[in-house]
Amino acid sequence: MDLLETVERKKIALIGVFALISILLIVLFYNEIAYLGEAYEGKYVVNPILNLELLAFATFAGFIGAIMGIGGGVIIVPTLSTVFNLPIHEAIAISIVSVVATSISGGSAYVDQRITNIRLAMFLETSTTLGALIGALLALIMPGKYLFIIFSAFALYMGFSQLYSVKGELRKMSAQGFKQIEPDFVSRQLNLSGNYFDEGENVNVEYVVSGSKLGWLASFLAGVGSGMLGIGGGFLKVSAMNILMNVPVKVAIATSKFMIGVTAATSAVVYYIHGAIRLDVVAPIAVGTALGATVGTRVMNKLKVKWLKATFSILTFYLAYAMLRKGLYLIFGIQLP
Amino acid sequence: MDVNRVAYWVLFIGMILSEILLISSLILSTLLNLKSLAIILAFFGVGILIATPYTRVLAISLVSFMNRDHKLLLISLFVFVTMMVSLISGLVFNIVPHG
Repeated sequence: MDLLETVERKKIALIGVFALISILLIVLFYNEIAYLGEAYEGKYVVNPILNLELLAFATFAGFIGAIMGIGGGVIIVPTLSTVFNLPIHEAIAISIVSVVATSISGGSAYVDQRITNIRLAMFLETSTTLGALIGALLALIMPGKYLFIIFSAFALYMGFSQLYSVKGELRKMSAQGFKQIEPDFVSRQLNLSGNYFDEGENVNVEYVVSGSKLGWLASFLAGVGSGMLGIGGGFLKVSAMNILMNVPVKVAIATSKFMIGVTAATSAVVYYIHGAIRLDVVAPIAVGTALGATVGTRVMNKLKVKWLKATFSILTFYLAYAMLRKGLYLIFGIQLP
Repeated sequence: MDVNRVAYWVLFIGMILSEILLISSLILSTLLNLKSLAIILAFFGVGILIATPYTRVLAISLVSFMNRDHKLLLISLFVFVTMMVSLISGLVFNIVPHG
């Protein structure tokens, strides 16, 4: 308890120090900052009411993203473009920044709760970053519209698999079944297995990671989807870990949350350097998603596994439909509702 | 050195720094109508936000090196190099969102 209090005190002290340094820097360089800001002001229009609406919406998106282990781009991009009337390219750029924000705040909280498996995350990041790089380069020479149909089929399969595996996962949790299998070569070499305390089921769950090659491949595909189509691929990573690699769903969600920031940051920095990020809209979105993610991470581990998997399935079915709709529109011009 | 704790503190510090700037930007633009200052703070806030995942991967590489955990060092360095190649190719080929 004393240790926890000491850590909390350290965090509060750190926040205070950073806040003071920030204020000091702003005061010291006010003239220079204001001059730069005036140059930007002509380019952007700041609307206070819009800021509050964006903040509220982003908090909701961040919350959903945190409890599902996804970036939330699937919620943010269509809402920004249809409800807030932002051009689609600006909505994508802002969404990418919000994915980084939610990954940092959600990811740090799950690491603190000791749910995230960092070694597994780093192993899968090798394939997802490579896939994103190849996907982005492929997008330059060939259209990715057929991939929407393929990813839609993947999402449908993952959605059904999540539903189908609810009872099996609960059985494995109660009988310590997650540690009753042999680790594969990669898992043994990299020491990928781990454990966490499930607050929803009130049980300490030990698990052994297997199926590393399949998981690596699925993560690679998620990366290709991210690079080529701009979809985050969080749903694929969570399902790949949970269904293919014998990783409990909550660990999969926390580890996915930790991972998604890496691919998103790579895209975000390019948009940032090109000036493609709307600085008048990004603050409420980034603050809101980080806030929502912080709340979401406090809730996720308390949820019952069956509800979490059922909700994840519904979200995955929605993703399957959204990607099918986009694919059919791009290939055949068919407009689904 | 515990790689979990290092990763946590890197993410936490990145989050706090960027959020302080972004929240200040939000307050300035929403309540005080100081638009130019708000936009420039958002610019720095987003910069720190985006740099945090890079720093996190680099920090894990460094800790792995200090812990003589060669396998984790190898995969984390691979991730960092791939991120840098992606960044450079993104800038060279001008890969920006087009919808």
